Amino acid sequence: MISMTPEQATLQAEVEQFIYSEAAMVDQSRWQEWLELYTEDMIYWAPSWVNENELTSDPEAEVSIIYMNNRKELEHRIWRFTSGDSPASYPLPRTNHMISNVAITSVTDEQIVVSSNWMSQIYRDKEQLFYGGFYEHTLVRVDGQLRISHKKVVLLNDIVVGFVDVYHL
Amino acid sequence: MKIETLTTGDSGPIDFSSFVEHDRDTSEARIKRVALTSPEIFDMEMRYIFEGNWIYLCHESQIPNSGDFYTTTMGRQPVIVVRNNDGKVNGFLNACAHKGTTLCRTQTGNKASGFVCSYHDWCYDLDGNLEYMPRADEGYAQTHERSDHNLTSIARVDVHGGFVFGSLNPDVSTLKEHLGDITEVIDMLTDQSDAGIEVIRGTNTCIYRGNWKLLIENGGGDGLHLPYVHKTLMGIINKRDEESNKGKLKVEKMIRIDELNDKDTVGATYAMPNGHTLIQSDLPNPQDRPAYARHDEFVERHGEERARWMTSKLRQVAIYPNMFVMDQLASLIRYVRPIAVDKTEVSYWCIAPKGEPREMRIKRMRQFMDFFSIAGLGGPDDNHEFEQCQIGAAAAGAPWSDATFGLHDQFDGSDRRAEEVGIKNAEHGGAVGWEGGAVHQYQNWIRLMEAGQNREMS
Ligand code: FES
Ligand SMILES: [Fe+2]
Repeated sequence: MISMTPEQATLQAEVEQFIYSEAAMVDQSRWQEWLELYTEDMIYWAPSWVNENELTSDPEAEVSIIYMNNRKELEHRIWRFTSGDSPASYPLPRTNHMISNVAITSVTDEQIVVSSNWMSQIYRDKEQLFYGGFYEHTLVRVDGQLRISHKKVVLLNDIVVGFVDVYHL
Repeated sequence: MKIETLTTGDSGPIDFSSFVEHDRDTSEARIKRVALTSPEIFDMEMRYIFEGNWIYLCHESQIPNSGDFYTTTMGRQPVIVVRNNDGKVNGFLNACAHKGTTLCRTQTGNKASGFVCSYHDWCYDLDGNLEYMPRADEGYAQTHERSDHNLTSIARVDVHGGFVFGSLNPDVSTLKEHLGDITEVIDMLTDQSDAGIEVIRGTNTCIYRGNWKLLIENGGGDGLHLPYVHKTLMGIINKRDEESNKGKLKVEKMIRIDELNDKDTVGATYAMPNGHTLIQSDLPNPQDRPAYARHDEFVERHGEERARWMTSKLRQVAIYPNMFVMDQLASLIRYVRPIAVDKTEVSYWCIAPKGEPREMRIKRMRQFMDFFSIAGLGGPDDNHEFEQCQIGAAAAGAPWSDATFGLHDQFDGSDRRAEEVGIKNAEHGGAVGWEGGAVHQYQNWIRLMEAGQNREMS
């Protein structure tokens, strides 16, 4: 039986609400708010599979699904898929992100590392897709607010339908 | 209105030659869209092209050691590519001679001590010879020969520049003949390292819901679509440039494909025997590519013109029917595996000179991820167009695709620049965007489909 101090319980609740609110921003297309959850020097990394059970481990020199190492890139990506000029992204799908198993795996003065499980339901062109996997958020406080400095997304699939973008994950 | 349909079954063989109309007088061409939607034709393509001719299988660097294997399919048949104890690359159907269960069940792995069937323990060496069956003495008559129960080999397996090809049909030309002058362009990549090139770790695979020919034709010469389908990519190229000029962020510049269609860009598309095509074009900013740093060294070794092709030109080769070797915004293999008439698997494999410095590797990886990843800023838009073309192709009342762009301006031979680097046996178009590449691919398709049909009927 895991026991939590009141401080731990408060932090757990805060972190959970934060992770849920991030998902809500994506599912409700609140892109500007979503972007602002990330620090300027953020890293967003979805590694690729090397074989049945191993992921790539070096995002700079090995293949990933997505690797962005500053917020500008995420901003550009959002610009791209909301512009209406990317055939792959128009119309945007309806999405529903479910997150559970939220666990704080480490806390230091600088950062909080949080792991969770996710599933997404994606509906577009009269077709339904399900993806799922794991998140690892590294959170920092900026002016008292939680911000994401590092997000790692593991997608269980090694073959996707058509393509994937950040809103599928 | 006359609806174009297939003439098959009771009405006799399919007239494949009617699928492309190329009027030499008006320089107009059109292609029948039913080639994209007919399950019957897909079935024939599997037999006559993917199971009847050379196709690309994998890269040698994916099976570096003895016993290393790679599993894939040839048409609809599961196959194993394996390196034997002498370092030779062998290929087998992935089916045990006993009851046909698969012997290799992962994408890659190692079978250094041979294939051991997990069902009833038949054991084969890496040349496919059946070496052991349990209870052989009590179970089989003395006339029973082990050698009658070896694995079935892929009829032809051969390698050029590390790229492994195979044919299930023994009755084909040599790989060298099949590839023709395309080998020159492959060599421009492999010559970038004495140690050869390698496939970098990490799979990047998607399935689009469209016919395989849509992708082959797009990458085989559709230089027309860049500014439109890839409009947002162009936008991001500009945004990246702005950021990098501001000097605030360390962002990697991208290759300026937005300037490729400029009039003074030196480039052309070539159509070569056996359905292969090549697009080459000067890059506006070659200095932003990893290979450019070695330009002078390449001049010394390979001469001025070849070095220029190696470092400063976009080179995109479509090796018919199932792969691209691309050295343009990034260096990669794009591998195409048809699954059904309206379903195609595409894998993007980033390739690089072995042992390249980490700085260069990082740059290369960046450029690969930007455009071609399954979550890239370009590839997804292409794939989505293929899916929409597939939907449109069901409109039987609109049976033809136009393939006329640049046909009035095409040349029977190669050109001076290409000849200088060994690309001799080709016809070519004057502009990037020449649709002769697609026409050429389909003419090769007609040749293979007719040959297959005749073979089966006789
Ligand atoms: S199926 Fe392989 S030994 Fe029986
Ligand atoms: Fe494209």
